[in-house]
Amino acid sequence: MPVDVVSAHNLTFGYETKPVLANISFSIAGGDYVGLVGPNGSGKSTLVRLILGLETPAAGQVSLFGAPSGTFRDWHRVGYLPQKNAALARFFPATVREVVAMGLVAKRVGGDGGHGGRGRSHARKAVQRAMELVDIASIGDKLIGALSGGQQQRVLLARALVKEPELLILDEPTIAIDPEIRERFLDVLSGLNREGGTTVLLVTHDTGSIGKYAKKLLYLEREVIFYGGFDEFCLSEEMTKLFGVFAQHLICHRHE
Amino acid sequence: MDILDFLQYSFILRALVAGSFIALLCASLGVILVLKRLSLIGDGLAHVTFGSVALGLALRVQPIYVSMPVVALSALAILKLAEKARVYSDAAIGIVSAFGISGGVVLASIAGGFNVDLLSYLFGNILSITTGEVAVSALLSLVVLAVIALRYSALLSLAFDEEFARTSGVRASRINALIAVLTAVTVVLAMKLVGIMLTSALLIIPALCAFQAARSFKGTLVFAAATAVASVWAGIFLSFVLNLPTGATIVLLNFAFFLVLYGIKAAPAFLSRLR
Repeated sequence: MPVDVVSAHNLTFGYETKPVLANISFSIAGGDYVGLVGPNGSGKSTLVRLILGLETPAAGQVSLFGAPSGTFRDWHRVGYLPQKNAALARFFPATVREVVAMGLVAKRVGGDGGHGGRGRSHARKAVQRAMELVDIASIGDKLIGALSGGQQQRVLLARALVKEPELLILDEPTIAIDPEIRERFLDVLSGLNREGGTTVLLVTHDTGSIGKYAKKLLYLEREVIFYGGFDEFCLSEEMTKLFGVFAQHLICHRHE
Repeated sequence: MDILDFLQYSFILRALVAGSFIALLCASLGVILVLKRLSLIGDGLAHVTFGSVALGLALRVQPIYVSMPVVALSALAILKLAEKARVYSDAAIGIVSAFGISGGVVLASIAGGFNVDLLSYLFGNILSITTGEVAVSALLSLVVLAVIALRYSALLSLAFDEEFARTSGVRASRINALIAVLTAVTVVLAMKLVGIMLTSALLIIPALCAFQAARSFKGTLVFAAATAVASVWAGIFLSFVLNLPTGATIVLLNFAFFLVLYGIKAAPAFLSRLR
């Protein structure tokens, strides 16, 4: 029986007296493309941090490829694009190529038919492939601080993709990006999911686009309000009644 | 006096060899510390070194044998304070630094006051370095540089984005502890070159010089190392010829390099504003 790529069981988390997530349970199978949505403060980024083992749950468990995230070691299987930090790159003296290569730090890097080849030549080729995928190969030797916000986001995406992960987790990847670039960005993700079988978990406020790309929706507001296919969501009158405009927005764009 | 006359003196050669190794070490580690916003950790640990030197002198033990473990433990204490006691890193450095300085002053007072020995550790005395000390400095510097080279990718990733590094399997807490211990070793070694008071300058200024001319991270490391070694060589030469304190001369030259490099970088924008 295939193991779920991500699974959470009765996951609970809070900061001191402030509860953030309560009894979250869901699972993401290989090849799924899940849009994680919810209002501000609903716990989306916190859930991502719990999945990645960056926080420890107060109760319950979350697993990656069947292993508890706190003890997970196969990081070459997971690509992560964190929420953009405006101050992150401004003065850092690294080129685009050097930043993308940081994605290969994971102990074991697959590639070339899964034989896990290492060595500088393999690493250079992997970096070049990742840069070409997100259309930044021409600026490989520029310093990251000299790039625009959109270009920096593409560099960070290439960093997440360079190890050809089986699971890609992206936290608000399209913030402060031009609409044209946003569409190309989401097309790349869609291609990776459709053709490469990469599992995608995308946290977003961009309800206009998510309906066109994701197969499933995970709606979070401290607890799981809804998890399932978009068609189920559309048919759920209670969801529409409860969440009115927000839900309608998702539904409208899905059917464009 | 020309450079060949200068190189005939064995104490000058010893100073150049030891100074070059220590400069390479300070520059390499300094780039990482500045990027991780830990610029002042060198200053803090230097103050602890003062206390440990006073302890060594009071116990009549070679100060380096007391300083190494004490400063390493203090570096780890700074990390733990920042993690567990929910104290900002700069405040954690401040607490440990204050403890080190005040401990040193009390110990010096109990032992009979400040003497020449303690003062020489404050301001450095590279021209009096012995062959044994050169060997120890070179060996420890090579060990630290080898560790930095072996863990280069993890250190770079951690300095750029610690959270992402953790999701790449980098054991952030272990690497941070390693950086703390390497910094402690570097600070203790640098004490002979520029003294306790100026050690943090040798960690910070070469990195800042390199940032003015940076075209890549690898290039930054090389440039920082070149600036540091050039400052040491020129500083030893000038201090000998002009009878100046060596440590301070090295740091002033390093600062002058920074001003020149910053000037070159800022000149085009300044000139275009004038037109």
